[in-house]
Amino acid sequence: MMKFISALLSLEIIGAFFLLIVIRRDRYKFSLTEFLSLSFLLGASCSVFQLFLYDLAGIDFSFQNVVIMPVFLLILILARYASRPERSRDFLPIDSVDLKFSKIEKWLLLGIIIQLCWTIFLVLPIPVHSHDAVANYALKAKIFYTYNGIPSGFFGLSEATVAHPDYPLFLPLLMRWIYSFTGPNDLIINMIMPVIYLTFLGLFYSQIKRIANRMYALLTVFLLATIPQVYDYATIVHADLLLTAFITCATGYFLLYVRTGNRIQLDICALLLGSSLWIKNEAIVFTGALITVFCILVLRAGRSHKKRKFVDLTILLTIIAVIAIPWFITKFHYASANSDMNIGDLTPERIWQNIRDIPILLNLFQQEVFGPKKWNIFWVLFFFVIIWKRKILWKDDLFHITLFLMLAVAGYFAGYMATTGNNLFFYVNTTISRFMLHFTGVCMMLMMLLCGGDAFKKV
Amino acid sequence: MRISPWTMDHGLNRNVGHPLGCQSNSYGDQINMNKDKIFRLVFGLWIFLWLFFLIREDKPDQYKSLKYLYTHDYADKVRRVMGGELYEFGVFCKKNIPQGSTYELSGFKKFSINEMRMRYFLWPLVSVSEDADFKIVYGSSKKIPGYKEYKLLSGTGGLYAKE
Repeated sequence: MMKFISALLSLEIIGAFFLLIVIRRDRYKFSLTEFLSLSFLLGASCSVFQLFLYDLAGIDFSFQNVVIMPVFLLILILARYASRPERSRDFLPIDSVDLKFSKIEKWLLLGIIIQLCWTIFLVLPIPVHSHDAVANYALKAKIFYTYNGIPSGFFGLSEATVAHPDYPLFLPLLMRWIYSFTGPNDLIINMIMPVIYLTFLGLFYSQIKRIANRMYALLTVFLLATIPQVYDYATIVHADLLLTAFITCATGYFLLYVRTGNRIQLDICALLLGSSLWIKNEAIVFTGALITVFCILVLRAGRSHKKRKFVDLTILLTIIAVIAIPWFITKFHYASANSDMNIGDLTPERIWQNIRDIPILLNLFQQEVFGPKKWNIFWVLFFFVIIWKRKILWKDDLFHITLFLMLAVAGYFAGYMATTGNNLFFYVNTTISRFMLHFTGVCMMLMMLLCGGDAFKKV
Repeated sequence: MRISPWTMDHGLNRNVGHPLGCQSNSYGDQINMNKDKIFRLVFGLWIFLWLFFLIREDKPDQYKSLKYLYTHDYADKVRRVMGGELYEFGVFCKKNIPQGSTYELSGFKKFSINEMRMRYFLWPLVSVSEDADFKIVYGSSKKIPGYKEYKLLSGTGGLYAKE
């Protein structure tokens, strides 16, 4: 366990370097919760890029090569604070923190803690076992461990060797990073998911806390944390919760940017969005949707703001491109095709067949919406709120989130219509619940914004 | 203390509450009270469903299985997760196939959880789709053209080496 904690600390150090030295707290005030959770997510992204760049440069993934980066960054952090001790103010809270929790806040916090402990209780004794974990993510991590890198010809391997070698490598490389500390331990590696779950909730809380009061932030996080599908995915090594975390938090920073115009929030949004392209192919839809919304934001901006917004759009696109291009070049270089969506097989007859099967999609969708086993009453509530608050759905900053959601849903729908490998029922039946998970955080955010009222702070 | 976010004035939402657009206080209080009641009901239902699905066994014997997993060592945990027969067969294959060899699985439903678990368990032995050094046949011991019998595990399956 100590080795696993060391691995987590190494990720924290990389992310902390980014926040403390590249961004700097005097330019962007963040709370301790935001610092810890964002550090972890950014650190995880950087560790993945580091391993990928090592592979491109022909450097092996030995322990020494892996730890050299966090050790070096830790020295830089320590040097910054040792040389000017007054900088340690960075670690003080932004505002005076009210440690007096109301009764309801205590109950909500207790609920979140119970949920987290329960998740850890379920994960702790079980080795990696779920289908996608053993077929894909954990097997890839094992392969990278055996070869001390990504073996040559990996992207051309057959499905008989490993599932979907063309899939983005974020989770396998993150697991490989942890294996550098723990060895190929498929018992302790499961714990990475509750850690991701915790950091997701922490960052989501910090974002809501920036615009709403503490009780409302806790209530929203409690609702998100206790959706069965969300905590179920925190118990298995699948990339879906990771994608949900990155997309939700990127959207959260985008929303904050729309409200405040703070460019650092936009930078963090771009970093998270760019990183999400390494997690799952579906991130392309969310990235495309957010870029489209941003273009509309630029078009809608007043003349005095247009130039600044255009520069911001350029920054967003540049950051996303810099992060994502190495992966896409690799993917196209090895011509790794998606076996489920082959453009060559997408004939008008096939599309027509998919369109005729839309009732099947809708039937499975309604089963999800009304099924409390996976979703509690989340989707019923969500659609109720959408109908109830329809008059303000397109007003002010809600416009951007609503449009973003609509575009992303349209993207997923188009994806279903373009599937070719098997019949539509097969794809929808095997993917709809996890695809809906990708939207859960953003939908919760929209619901929170629609119902917030007096809970909102002036930003 | 009221916690309902639905009773809060939204700011964006002004003048949409009353169907006639008038601002009667008693009418507003009535609406707020109703909203508060609805919120409590919905939140209560949420809590009930949360605890119900949290505590309820997701799979048969989940708690028994968890107790077993907490009280046994790593090999037993893997045996429990894979199933005894599959685990024993996996150990048998690992023991008898020389390191660096390739194998092809048969007797599993394609892409089934058992096939995936076996493949994960057998790594660093590499599963291939054709021209494997060994064929692993699970569930039967049938003759395979181009391969000769190598080792059998009675009642479970066998290994066949390329001729």
